[in-house]
Amino acid sequence: MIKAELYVQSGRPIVVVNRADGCNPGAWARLLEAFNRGVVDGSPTRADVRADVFMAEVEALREIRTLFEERVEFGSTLTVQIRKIAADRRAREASLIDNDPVDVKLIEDELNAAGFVRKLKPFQLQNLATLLRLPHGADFSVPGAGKTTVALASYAINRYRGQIHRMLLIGPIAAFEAWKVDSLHCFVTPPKITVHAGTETVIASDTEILLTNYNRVANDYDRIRNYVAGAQTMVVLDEAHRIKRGADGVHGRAVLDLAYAAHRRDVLTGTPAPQGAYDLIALMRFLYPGQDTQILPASAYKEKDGREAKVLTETQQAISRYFVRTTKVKLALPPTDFVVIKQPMGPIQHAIYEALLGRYRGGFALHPNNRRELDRIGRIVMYLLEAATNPMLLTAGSDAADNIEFQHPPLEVRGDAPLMNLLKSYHLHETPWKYVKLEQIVADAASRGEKVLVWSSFVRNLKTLSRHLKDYMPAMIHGGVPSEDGNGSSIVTRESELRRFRDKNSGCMVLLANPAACGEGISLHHECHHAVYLDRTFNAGQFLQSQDRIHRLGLAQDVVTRFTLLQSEGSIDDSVTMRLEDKVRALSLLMDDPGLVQVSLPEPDEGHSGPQTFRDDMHAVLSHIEGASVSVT
Amino acid sequence: MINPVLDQERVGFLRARASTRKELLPAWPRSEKELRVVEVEVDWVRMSTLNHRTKAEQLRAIHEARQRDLFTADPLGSDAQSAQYKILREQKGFDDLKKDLRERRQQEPAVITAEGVLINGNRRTAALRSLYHDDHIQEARYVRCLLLPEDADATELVDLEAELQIAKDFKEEYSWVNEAMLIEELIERQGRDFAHVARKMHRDEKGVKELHEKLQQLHQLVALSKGGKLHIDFVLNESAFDELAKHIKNKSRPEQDSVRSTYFLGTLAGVNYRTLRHLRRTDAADLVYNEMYANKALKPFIDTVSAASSTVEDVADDPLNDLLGGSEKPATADHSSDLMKILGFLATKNLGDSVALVSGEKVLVHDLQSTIQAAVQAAAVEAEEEAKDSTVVTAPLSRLEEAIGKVQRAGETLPKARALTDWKESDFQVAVAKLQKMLEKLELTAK
Repeated sequence: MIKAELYVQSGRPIVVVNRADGCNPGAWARLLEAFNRGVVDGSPTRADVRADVFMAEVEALREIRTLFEERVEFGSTLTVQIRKIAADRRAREASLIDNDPVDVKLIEDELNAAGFVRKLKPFQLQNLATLLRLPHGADFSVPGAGKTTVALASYAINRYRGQIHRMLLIGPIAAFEAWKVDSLHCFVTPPKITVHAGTETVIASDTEILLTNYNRVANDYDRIRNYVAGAQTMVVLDEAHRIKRGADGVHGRAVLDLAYAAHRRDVLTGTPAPQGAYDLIALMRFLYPGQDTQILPASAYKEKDGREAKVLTETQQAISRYFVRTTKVKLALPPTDFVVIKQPMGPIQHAIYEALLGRYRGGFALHPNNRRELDRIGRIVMYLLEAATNPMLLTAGSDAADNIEFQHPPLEVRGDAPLMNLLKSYHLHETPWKYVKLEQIVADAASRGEKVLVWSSFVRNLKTLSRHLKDYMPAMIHGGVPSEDGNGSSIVTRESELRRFRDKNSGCMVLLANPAACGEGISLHHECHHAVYLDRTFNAGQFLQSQDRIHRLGLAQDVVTRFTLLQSEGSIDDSVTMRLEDKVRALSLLMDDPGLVQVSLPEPDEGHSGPQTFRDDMHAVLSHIEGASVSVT
Repeated sequence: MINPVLDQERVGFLRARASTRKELLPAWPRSEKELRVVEVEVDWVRMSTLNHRTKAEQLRAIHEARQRDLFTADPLGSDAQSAQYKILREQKGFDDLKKDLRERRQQEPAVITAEGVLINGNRRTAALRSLYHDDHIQEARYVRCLLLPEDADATELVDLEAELQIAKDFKEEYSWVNEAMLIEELIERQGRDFAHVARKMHRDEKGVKELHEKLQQLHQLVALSKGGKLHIDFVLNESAFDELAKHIKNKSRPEQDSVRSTYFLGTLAGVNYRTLRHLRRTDAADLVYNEMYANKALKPFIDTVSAASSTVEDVADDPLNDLLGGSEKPATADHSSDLMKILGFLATKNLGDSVALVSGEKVLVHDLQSTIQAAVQAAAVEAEEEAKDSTVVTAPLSRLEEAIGKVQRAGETLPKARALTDWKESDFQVAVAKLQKMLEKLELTAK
């Protein structure tokens, strides 16, 4: 006999699994094998398993009944929890077969009765109806489609029906402002909102909406959980793709644990699967704990196959009934115009780039798989991206304000006299062509009174450019610029920089930003219709999100939003372009949103030379390093 | 203070007998590492029945005696003690040990508890006892021991064994099964903290985890055989369990089930792990099942097994079924569960038994087993061929790509090498000519 019961230990849900005397040792071994990664404590007769792992592997319990004929018994708390999830499953399945047309008028009436005053657009009402039918909802609409408003409307109705008493919103700090402002405008009586800034924040007992971010949930888990468990709470994840690393990441784990205490769960993101089908697992585990394997096809669990056409189609079919998505096409956004400017690097820059390639060529196995090798390739990508844009960055290394994924040491040039000389003469004789081009673009725009948004992933690029473009009084946002929220007395903040950029009379004509810090939750579509990408990385989520800053709902129909991509010929920029296309196409397939490709990517003939596909980013990089040498002969 | 758990008579005997001389036992976890030395008769000391070096052998003795508490009912009693003595005598290398003790006498002291139970030196004491009784060597009458304090607890004793286990000569006496069982017990006692146990065993955490994972697989196979097979029967199959455990980790459930059932059945039927390797794939169970079912000799047997296997009754209003949907059924659509049934049926039988088939025929289990072995091997060969076919297309190109990279590297390092005095230009030219010849040959075959 195996007995299992759910407990809360230091705030975290733990399932204690006991084996009684005479329990089949094979059955016990099978359970230990299944729960292994979640076992936190135990004894010869006991294993304490993290609840998320227990639920993910709960099928093993049924297996031991059939295979080893071992009995399984659940304690009362766990039974209640399992019944709750089972009810969830039934509700989920019922919602799938419910094909009755929704009377949108009834929903509008209910919104009125619930004190929700903002008038929803037809597509928003339709989304709301679908979300209300599901026990837990996913809104994968593009930015600007009003996900915040729809989520607040869903909250209002669920509260009015007595199913929900309060809400917890977990999202990036940059999005808090929108939640505050929207709540104010949506309700007759605005709900009491508390911003959770950390362990110091007092959470008033009459708080109706608690705003916090992913970091803070992990750091102050107990109190957040008490808030969620204290009353029937709807937990909403904004920019939910941030938990895609799931239980492996600290943020993901805290949020997944929280799922069990929540009464209703909703996820909002426009880019739910930037790397392919695999990314959806964590989202499904949050929405429907213990049921993800019933929803997603087995093929979605192989990360490396996440963008194979067959996997994408299977996954799309499996999840299509669980989410709503308002596409850019549905929003009837005015068109985008992509301009790809491809130029050869200057002679010295080209020589530097070739020297770098030569250094790495032939030094890799065809299928590197150990950690050190992969880290090394990661570093090389940084160097190649830098060299393709501005080789002077090579010897500087990363900036302290760079995103953690971008941290890397300066390029080692000692002992490489030719490269050292090249770098020296570069400094004296050349300016990066991308800088020159950018200056031209900014000057042109400024002469017409238009503002330009410039993206680069490297903070050192942004800083150098801010000196370069000083005549246009650039504003700058990156990881090193603090937010006004709570802490810090800095004069220059993200908000002050944004205000300066938005102000028509400030003379600030350029915003220099990196996607990691500025890619989400900010709208600039009223002030700016032209974004220039100095460089891009393999991160498709950030690429799409960054576009949405200026291309979103609220644009006049006659406005054309322009995206200019600066690419050095024959450099890693080409590989990046191919990979991003591959990923955007995968996402558009998953979301059944063919328009995504059209609005977010350049026309095929403007982008790259051939339809080459690689299994992954690393392969594309290796092929670039090795392939470049072959093309010389 | 008197420890009421201990046999006070034995404790008193040792207390009176111990000398004042002390010797160092670095492996003893407490800070007071110098223990009193005592010399006792080889018949008086008790063998430890908790010793992990004999765990798998004990399980077999329990099975043979049909007495589950053979070693636990009265560990110091005569039944348990003579069974343990028998196990030690039958272990590999026992005669060598006797010979060594006869020539060089006892070098290192054994270690005993306050009751006179051996924690270390079980085999040596058994060898001395055998020398004394069977070979009439008078010098073998006594064994020199270090005496542990009266308040030593069970955890300290397991820790001590683990600490002693890391010594190399000691370690060699452990089979992988027994070593894994020691690790399992330590892990269970240490709150399932692998890192802690790994530090204690002076091993890396990964190795400890892997050993534990292999053992979990073995536990399952042994349990499935319902007593037909024992842990000790698989001492020589370490590689199969190793590769199985490594492969199925973090795989999807269908793949886990498929590969596990294939490995279990294959190992039971005596298929070599190198052959099984080709069956590490999601459809392994299907391949094996189809191969078996296509075999005229095996088809009636498979039908017999499925007719005989009991179906587990559905539990009414069961929370698990409620949660997972559907009712009790094999979780996978493939033949993993069929293989498990065949395994369960076969493992409970002796090789000499015969099985009555639904067709009325009778077959010998031994014959069935070798036919199954051949079928699994055939499936493995088929899988291997298939894998070869898929790499065969890319192999020449990827080899060439590798070579191009290496040649490029050679060119880049050439100037530096040439500048050195040891450089032999002629050797270099020979190598280049060789390469050129090969290229010409390659070009010819390409056309």
